[in-house]
Amino acid sequence: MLSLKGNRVRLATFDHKWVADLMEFEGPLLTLMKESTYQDYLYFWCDSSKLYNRWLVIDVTRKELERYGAGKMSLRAIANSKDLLHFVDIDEVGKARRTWEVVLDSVPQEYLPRESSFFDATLSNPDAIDILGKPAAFSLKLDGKLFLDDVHGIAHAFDELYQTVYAIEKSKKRVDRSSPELTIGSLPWKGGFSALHAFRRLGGEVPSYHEARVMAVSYGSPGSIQMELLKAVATETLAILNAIDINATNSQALSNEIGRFARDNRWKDIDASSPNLRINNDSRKFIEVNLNKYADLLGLGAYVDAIRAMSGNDLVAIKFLRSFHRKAKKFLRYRTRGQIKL
Amino acid sequence: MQFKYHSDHLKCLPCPPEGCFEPNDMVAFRFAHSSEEATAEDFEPLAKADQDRAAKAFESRPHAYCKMLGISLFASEKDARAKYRALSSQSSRWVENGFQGMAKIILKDEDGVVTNVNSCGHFTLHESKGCNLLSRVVMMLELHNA
Repeated sequence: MLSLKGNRVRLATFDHKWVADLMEFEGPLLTLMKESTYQDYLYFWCDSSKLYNRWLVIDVTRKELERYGAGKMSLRAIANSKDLLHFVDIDEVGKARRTWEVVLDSVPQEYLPRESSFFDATLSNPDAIDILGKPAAFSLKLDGKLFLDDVHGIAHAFDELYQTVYAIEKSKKRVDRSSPELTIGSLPWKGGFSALHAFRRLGGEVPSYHEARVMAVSYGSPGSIQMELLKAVATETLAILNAIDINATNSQALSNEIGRFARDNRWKDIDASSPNLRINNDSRKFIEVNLNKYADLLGLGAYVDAIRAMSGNDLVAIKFLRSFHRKAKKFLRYRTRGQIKL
Repeated sequence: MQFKYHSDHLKCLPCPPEGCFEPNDMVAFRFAHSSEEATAEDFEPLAKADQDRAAKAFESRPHAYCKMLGISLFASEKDARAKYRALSSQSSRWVENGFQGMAKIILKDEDGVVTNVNSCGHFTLHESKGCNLLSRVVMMLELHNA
């Protein structure tokens, strides 16, 4: 590999999470990563040795991703707009081992994308087209009396539901392309397992580019939280919430029945992440009868296969539906109180 | 059919993916390091040749891992050259330093199963146990200047 003339950087700086491969040929070549502070990064593969793969890391803004996705800005132009670029050597188990910051003028030309490095759909992973979908304006309508805690609660609950529906939609598209991936299926879902981990994992599926960004908040009667996000997903989220509201009595009755059955059959003792998952016949039959029914009542009937795929098995799928149901009810309480309008 | 990477397939089922079929004297093209002669190295799947990327893809991404256990091929010389041009336009490192030529091969039914050819002419072969793609090479082509 070529030597880099720059400063070494603390490894902790590179705690980035994989979101999607945008371009690939026999493996990823351009990958979108994110960190918890709503910053997106493009990882551009540029070299390898026996020990490491070296990636050029470019921090990108929403505007830059939007222009890149629309073919109006090349990767090179994005790189050229930065004073500093970063490099990371990743080892055989996917861990960042060495990192540098290098001023643009000192970066070896071979490591930079070419001037003609515009987004090319023929090289893209099918996920890339969706990942680069342009965010748009969306309003969540507020009403009634609100305390600061309510505003936080509404925003947080909506954000979690939006992220979850985003991940489910993504899973559906993967299933449609016969390329399903586990998202929450590798989690244990037993004992004191908290569904919080699953929702965090699903949130990781959303690039910062599509996270709900607040553009304005107006408070009146009615008021609104105006956001920029992927509008189709937000609209679908509200449609699902409406379905849950309409079916509230039946969905709650079924949720209670599932809860009782789970307790009686000690589902909490089963490691649902195991590839050799074994459940008794009664449980299998119960899930078989109720999974689709429950999904229909929650407005998720069209996503059953997607939820199954990301869950890895039907036991995780039905546990996930109950967790999602709880989240949805928490949000819908604000509607019951007249604080939001769907 | 028994597959060359059977034990790895078990980690990322269903692999090979559903819908694969046996290649009945199918013509295929693959990038090679030399335009003079292909070597066994030219026919190694990425998951075997590059453990780093395999590990990266493996965690919770069985489909991606399965794909990396297969051999990337093109249905026509034109498709392969178009892909080469597209990769070259992005980075000098992505293909030019590594590939000088292209092998034309003819796949037999016993070589394994292939995925459907996508809109860019690309498909993946999942090799059977005993498959030797080097023996299927019928012609070497220059990649850079054609």
